[in-house]
Amino acid sequence: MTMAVPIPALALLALLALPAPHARSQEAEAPAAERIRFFRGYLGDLALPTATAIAADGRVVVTEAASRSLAVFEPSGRLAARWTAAGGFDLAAPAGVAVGSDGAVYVSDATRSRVGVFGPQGEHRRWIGGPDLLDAPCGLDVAGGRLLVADRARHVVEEFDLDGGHVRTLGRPGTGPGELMSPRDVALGADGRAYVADSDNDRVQVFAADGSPLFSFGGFGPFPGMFAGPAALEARAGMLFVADRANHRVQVFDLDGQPLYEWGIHALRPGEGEGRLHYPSGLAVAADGGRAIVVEPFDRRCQRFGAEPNEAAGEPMMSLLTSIAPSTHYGMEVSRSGHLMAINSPEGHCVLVFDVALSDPRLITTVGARGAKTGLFLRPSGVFLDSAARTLAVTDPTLRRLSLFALDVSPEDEVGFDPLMWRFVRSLDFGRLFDLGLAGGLAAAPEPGALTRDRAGRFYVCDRRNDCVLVLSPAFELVRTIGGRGAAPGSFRRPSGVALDSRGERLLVVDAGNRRVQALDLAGEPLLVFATPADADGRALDSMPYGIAAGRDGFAYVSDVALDQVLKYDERSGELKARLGAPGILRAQFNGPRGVAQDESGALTVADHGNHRGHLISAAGEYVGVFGARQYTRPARLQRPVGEDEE
Amino acid sequence: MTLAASPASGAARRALLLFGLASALLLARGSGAARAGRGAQKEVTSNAGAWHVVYECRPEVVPLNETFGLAVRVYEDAARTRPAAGVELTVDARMPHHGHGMRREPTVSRAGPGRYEVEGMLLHMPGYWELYFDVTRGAVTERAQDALEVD
Repeated sequence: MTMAVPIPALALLALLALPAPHARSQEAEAPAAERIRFFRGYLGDLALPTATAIAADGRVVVTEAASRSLAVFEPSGRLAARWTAAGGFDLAAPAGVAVGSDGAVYVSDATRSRVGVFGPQGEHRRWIGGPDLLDAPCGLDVAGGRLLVADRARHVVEEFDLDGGHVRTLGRPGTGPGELMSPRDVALGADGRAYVADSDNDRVQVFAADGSPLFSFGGFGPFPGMFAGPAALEARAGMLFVADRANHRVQVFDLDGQPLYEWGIHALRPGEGEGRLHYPSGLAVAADGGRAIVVEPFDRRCQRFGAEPNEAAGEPMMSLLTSIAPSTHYGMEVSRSGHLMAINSPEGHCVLVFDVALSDPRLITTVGARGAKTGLFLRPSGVFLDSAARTLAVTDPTLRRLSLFALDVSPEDEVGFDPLMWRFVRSLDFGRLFDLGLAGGLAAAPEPGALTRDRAGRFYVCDRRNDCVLVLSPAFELVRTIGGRGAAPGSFRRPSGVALDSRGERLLVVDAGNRRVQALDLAGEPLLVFATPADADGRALDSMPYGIAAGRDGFAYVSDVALDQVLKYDERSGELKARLGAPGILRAQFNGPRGVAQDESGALTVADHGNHRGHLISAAGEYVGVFGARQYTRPARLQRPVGEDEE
Repeated sequence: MTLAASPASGAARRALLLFGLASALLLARGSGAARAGRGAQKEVTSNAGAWHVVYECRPEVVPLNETFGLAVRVYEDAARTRPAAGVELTVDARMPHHGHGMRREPTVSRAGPGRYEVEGMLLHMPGYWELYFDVTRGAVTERAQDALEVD
């Protein structure tokens, strides 16, 4: 720690007047001239950006998931080119990007399990990896003849030479030293160290140049030096920059993990930018550490930050307001049954249970808390409610666990919050099932996600790790698996939603990696693929289906993250009948909708994840109501655009 | 420390907090309620009914912020004729109103067929605690639980 230096009063006042990010005592060690603190503009009109990199010549590249393309910006921020499949940029799910010193662009494809290498003008050179070496590659970095690729599915980092030869594996799955859970990015330091965004462990893991683990830092929390799902990082100018996704900020450390400073706070209003951040998921920093690009997929943009104020914009626009509490957002999954609704809270590491008998849903209990012990969660995912049996089933892909809870509530009870309303009943540990050889020949320990249940009490659980649906008996025995990795009918890639049709005869699976919805019989035989949404001229739209509800009224309702709509299908024919809602924050508008559920009356509940709210619409798409964060429900309640809703 | 019936309805549990042990015993309902055993023994049935857990605190009155132990027996039947075989036992405690558990990890050692000794329990705050007995066979874990009030 450096000694405090007396500062003249005027200079102190001038410092306090600066609308800089939250200054902290540790910041004294950061070279002030290189601190990034000023918002400098946007890179906009991006189709769900996922990652970014800055080339040596100052160009900025951004991967776009929805359009499966790569946008190239000049140093000024002007869009220079867009690489698409038509031009040879043939990626199914661009998830990470890095630029070599020779200008070559490396892009990971999370669906096809490989890394594409492209020339500076977009010409394809070669593929690296493949299903034998990678599963879900995301963030990557290239330097000194080394290519490192974070693999979220296998929970490791793979190292290649630049010809594609596999060199070594860094880390292994787990929570201990040198172990990784859902690593999302990797950065190479000048000394050859590899810094890994160990996302589900909420820490940064550091590996030596030979791949041996050195140390880690972080841990879950909102305070300086702690993380909530670190998603991207860069090692530049002797500093480590980390996109701290669910804390909505970027933190800067020295290369030993000591916090130096941070910038960014959560957007106070929907869509707000100008230095405020919303789930920063990608990050690029210039070589001098004085300029950064931050990717925000929900807001379809990148924000540019610098160490100097933006002269054209006049006053710098960073806010003095600060908040150290992580916000609670709704979604990704939702379930309805009788008078109850359950929706998971990713940042809260719990499941929120509402009584919906009244006009507005009322929170009556929160099930679980953060932790790895039995009955707790690290990443609550799929939820399934049964109000008659008074049970709630919840999956956790990080803990590889399906947990069943009893809810001590009935429609006759007085509606009120009761933390003792639930009890953990039992759980199935899929990791242990796999270790015991009881996982039916699956290649890896299942990572359970969305789920549903049939009338006989069997559970159908999406397994994104093995690209299949697990069928479990009511006693949690694995009965069989449906599907398997691939793009052929009956195969899946990262299934994200599952439902049964009205007759209970068909399984409807959102095959997210293949961007389609499949209908299968209960033995797993493929029956049909639902229609792909198209524009008025019949051209297929950039669609990314995620959640599904079916089995009530003969229709299947599929949330679409790219279109910000709910697609209404005939559940028997797969014909697209309507597209419900639109992008936005007002009534019947969505931002990154995820889970969807239908109640007995036919009304839909949508986990409007990017808007931090739950959204109720009719089966025809008419607005019924919203619930959640006040700032994000007010525009719909008042039906006024953001900025016009102030009293 | 007082031991209360568990699990109880939401209304009964609220009453437990307000009126203490006597009210809770009057209002308690539901399956798997604690059953008075010999001496200080308590019996709870797991939440899905697979296991019957008999336990005894050592010392009998759980001290505040001091370590204590448990003697635990796990049976497959309510008549206590079949000690559980091929299972693992994990014991924990949490304060659900406060969202936290203990600040230490107790150790569980096997003392015979279906018998376990638990050391190192420590309840560091007064108030309502829940005591968890998680019984694992294969890949499935089922919980038996009891409620206790620490003075």
